[in-house]
Amino acid sequence: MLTVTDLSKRHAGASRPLFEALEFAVAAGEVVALVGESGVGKSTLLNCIAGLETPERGAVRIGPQALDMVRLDEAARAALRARRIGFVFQAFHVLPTLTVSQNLGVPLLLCGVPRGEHPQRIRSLLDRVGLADFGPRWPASLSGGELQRVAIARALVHRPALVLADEPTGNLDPRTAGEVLSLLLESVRERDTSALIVTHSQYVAQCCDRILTLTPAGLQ
Amino acid sequence: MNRLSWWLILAQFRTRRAATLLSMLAIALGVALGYAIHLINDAALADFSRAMQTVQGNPDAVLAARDSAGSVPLASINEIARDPAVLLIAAVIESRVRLDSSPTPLRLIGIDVFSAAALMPRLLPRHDGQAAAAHILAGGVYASPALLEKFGLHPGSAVTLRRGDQDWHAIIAGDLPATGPDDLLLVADIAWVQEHFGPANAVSEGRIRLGPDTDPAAWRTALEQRLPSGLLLRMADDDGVRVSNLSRAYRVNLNVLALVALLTGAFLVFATQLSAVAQRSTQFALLGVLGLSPRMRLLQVLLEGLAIGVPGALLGLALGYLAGPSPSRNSWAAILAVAICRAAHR
Repeated sequence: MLTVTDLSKRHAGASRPLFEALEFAVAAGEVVALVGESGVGKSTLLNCIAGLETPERGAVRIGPQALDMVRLDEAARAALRARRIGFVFQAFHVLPTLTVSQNLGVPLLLCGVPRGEHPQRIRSLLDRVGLADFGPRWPASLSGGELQRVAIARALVHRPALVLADEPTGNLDPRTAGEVLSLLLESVRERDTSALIVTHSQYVAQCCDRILTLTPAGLQ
Repeated sequence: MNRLSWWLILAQFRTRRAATLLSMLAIALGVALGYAIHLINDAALADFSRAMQTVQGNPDAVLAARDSAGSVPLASINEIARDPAVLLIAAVIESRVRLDSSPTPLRLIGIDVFSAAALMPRLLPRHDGQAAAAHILAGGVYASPALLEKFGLHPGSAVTLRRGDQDWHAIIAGDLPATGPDDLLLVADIAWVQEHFGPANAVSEGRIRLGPDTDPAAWRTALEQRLPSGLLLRMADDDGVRVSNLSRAYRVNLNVLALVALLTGAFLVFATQLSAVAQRSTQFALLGVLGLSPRMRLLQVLLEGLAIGVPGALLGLALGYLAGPSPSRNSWAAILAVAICRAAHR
């Protein structure tokens, strides 16, 4: 689960904060959509939750243990991201120089999963996202939809407590987007993982369990 | 190194094959040049030193008595002369005499004129054709130009050599053109000096030239074990410093060349790595998002540099070793030594 408390962020030199005193929680197995106008701070909020940006104040707790992401140093935040968070991006961001299997192996290596478990976990996830025979293939030979499926598998392979997705269907055609979204929601729910999805798409938002709207005035 | 590092290094090699190969070759070339120059430098300096000693007539070793008043028995000189490692040994007798009524003692050096040409060219006498006196083998005495000037002498002058209360009459048969402007000395045939001033069956020192293939250090170790306790062997180590000074510009040039080669290789690798990191900034950012700490990312870049640098350096060492030894090295060192001597003489 994810708990955000009193989270505020002000960019350097800005006269007013981007967002202030945000408070919300995402329960285990719950999928929450985060919507709002461009520039309102959705991606920044996601970055603050992931520990990629430092908020002005506030606390972010991920998973069963109450580890405060905001107060950890960079190395500890990286270690926490490796263990507790999975990422899905709009531009896929699959490592082009590694095979599909190796891409899925990266989170497993980073969070210290025993090597013996890797093949079974990778096979199982690739099978789940419909890419059972794609392990040895290079990302350059995959379509956009296939790349996003690899990204979803990579986000879930190390069994994180939270999946953060930034416009996961933004680069896909409507039919593929629908397939990928269904796959993401099903995979997250069946693993009892919390998910926070930033989106501009009403369709995507409607498919989620709850919608949070970020405005300059705060969360609604 | 963990598995992820291996994956990323192999991926780097696979996707940037030409750039990686070029970097490796640049490092190999830099190290090869540096190492070859180092090897050539060392070997050439040793040969240069030997060549300088040959040109200047300096001995490789000097056999002398430990006690400054002592002497070297002729038996020891003869024994060393039979050593196959010894090319030449020249005996020298040095005595102190006074000239006519002068109170200043002068050095009288007795040499074997035949071996002196190779080992003591500075003391080679020049016979004056106008001098009435006999030549060196018949008791002629040769004086340095400084001595001739100081005492107002010239070839043909009769002089009296005094030691203690004994006098010996001699004729100035010529001069010593290679001596320095401040050298006040007399040179005569060693047999004449020994007959008149002693010591009998002994000499002051033996100057030794070793064969070209002899290792001076090993020869010294072997000889010192059988030398009589009253004798010592002085090697030409001190001359090495002088030779080193003479060849400093040459060595500095070579070292700078080696450094330039190394720095060029290092710069090429740095530029390649910089470009690789810049091109892969998205990949490193993604690895950071996935949980690779900044320290690990830096380590990864260093490991990738090592993966290029270590094989390149090993290849360079092998190439440098192969390129280092050169059959023409001795000739170059000799040419250089002669050129420097000529320049110094001018």
